[in-house]
Amino acid sequence: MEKRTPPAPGIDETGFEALNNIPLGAFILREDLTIIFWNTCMELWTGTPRASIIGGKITLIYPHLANAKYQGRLEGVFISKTPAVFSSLLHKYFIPILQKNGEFRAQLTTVTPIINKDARTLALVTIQDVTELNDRLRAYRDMRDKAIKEVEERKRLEERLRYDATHDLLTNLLNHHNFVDALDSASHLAKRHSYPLSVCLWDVDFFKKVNDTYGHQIGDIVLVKFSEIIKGIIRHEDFAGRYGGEEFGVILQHTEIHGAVHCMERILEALRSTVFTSMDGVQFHVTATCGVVEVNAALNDPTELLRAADMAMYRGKESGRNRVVAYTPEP
Amino acid sequence: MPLTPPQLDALTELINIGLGRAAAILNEMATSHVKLVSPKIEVLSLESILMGKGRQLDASLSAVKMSFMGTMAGSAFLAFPPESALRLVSLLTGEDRDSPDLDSLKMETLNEVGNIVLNGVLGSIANALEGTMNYTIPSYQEGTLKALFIENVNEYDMVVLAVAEFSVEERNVHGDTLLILEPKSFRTLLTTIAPEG
Repeated sequence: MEKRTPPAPGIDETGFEALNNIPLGAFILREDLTIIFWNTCMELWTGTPRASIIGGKITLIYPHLANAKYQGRLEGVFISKTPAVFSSLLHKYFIPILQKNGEFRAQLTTVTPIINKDARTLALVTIQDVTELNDRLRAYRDMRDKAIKEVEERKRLEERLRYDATHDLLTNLLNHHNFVDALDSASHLAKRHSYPLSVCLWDVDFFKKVNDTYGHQIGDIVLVKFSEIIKGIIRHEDFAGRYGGEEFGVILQHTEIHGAVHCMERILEALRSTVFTSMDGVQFHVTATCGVVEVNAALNDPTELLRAADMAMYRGKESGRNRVVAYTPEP
Repeated sequence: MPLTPPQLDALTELINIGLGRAAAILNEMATSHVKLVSPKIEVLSLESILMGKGRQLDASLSAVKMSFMGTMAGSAFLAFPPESALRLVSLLTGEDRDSPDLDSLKMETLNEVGNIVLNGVLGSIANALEGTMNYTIPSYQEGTLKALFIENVNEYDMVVLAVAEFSVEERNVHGDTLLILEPKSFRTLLTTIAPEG
């Protein structure tokens, strides 16, 4: 700055000249809050030359500083000699300086007491411009947040892929492969710890006819509804899977055959009372047939269990469908 | 050095007056109402602290430090577990983002909060002492309580430990206000605030 300002009358300002060479905004206040020094950096930032601001009261030039949250703390600097810090997150600015984008520059301001040669307390205000620093920290934080979000998204996707690989996409039940796996370990555990376990196989009656009459879309709705009925009735520890096209399997843990038959009858009852509607608005009902078998000492191999359940289901089909049949060995 | 009940009462009152002033300033700045009290004050020696009395020594802390000289000499800290510090800053600034670490923006804010709280407490004590004191500008540091003590406390120093309980919008954040005093300063303080003690 070429414009040199003479010292304010009565105040020895010469000692403050060094503050013109620091990369901080700096100014000095007397106890009555008049400005007695305004450094070159402040002149540059505010466009206000020293000559025109010295002798003025800071709270008149910048009225927001008359607010209790500033004035009270500035007074503290003079009265109890405690320094005061004003951070950029809690204060929009200490001295407002606009950027081209319409936002204020971020400032970190420190006010400390200094004693002049007449033993009077003055307040030295230094302002560090932290706009670029803050912008970079924010950009860094946003980048990190984005990276964290991406990792989470990938984890979610992997979980979804894992789920899709083990579940039937239409009904969300276990797929054939995983249902057989679940039966394998469940029957193994039941045998080792000798607790009852029942296996049930369902086949939707005349499903081909449903498809042919009302279309595949309606057929899919029937399968989804039936799987929802099954899931709604079995317990959390039980398993349900889509065994084939219109075939469903259920594994009931800790359940003897009578209990299993009773449970399957509730499922059948719920299916029977469900009203389906075709695309043309025709209402119809669907039934299904179920074969149930309980694991025992002689019968515990998964393949044999499924064959036995299938056999019981086949008997049910032969004797008129729409029923639950318990497996009995051939006489 | 055990304190007599009148001494402890006087000290508790001085600290709470200081915290009350700090809360009044924080209220001017924060969007939500801030209450700040100290329900519990203890005086401990370095030895009793290192023996594990009071606080977990290896827990990490975010702390703001101000040192002082004059009628009374020593240093003062406002210390928080890092996650409490973060929560307090979020509550005061109304920014609800919780970054997993304290970034510089928040350190700067915590430094101001520490400045206000410690100014309140130290100002209240200095006022009672009717002496003159000089203060350093507040600085932010992180570390364990043990490291903080080993770096700042001498063998015979006394530590006044006041729990600082911030309530912002019905949410509580606990910190510690620590006043580390040279033995001579501690005696001056006690004889001034409760001469009969």
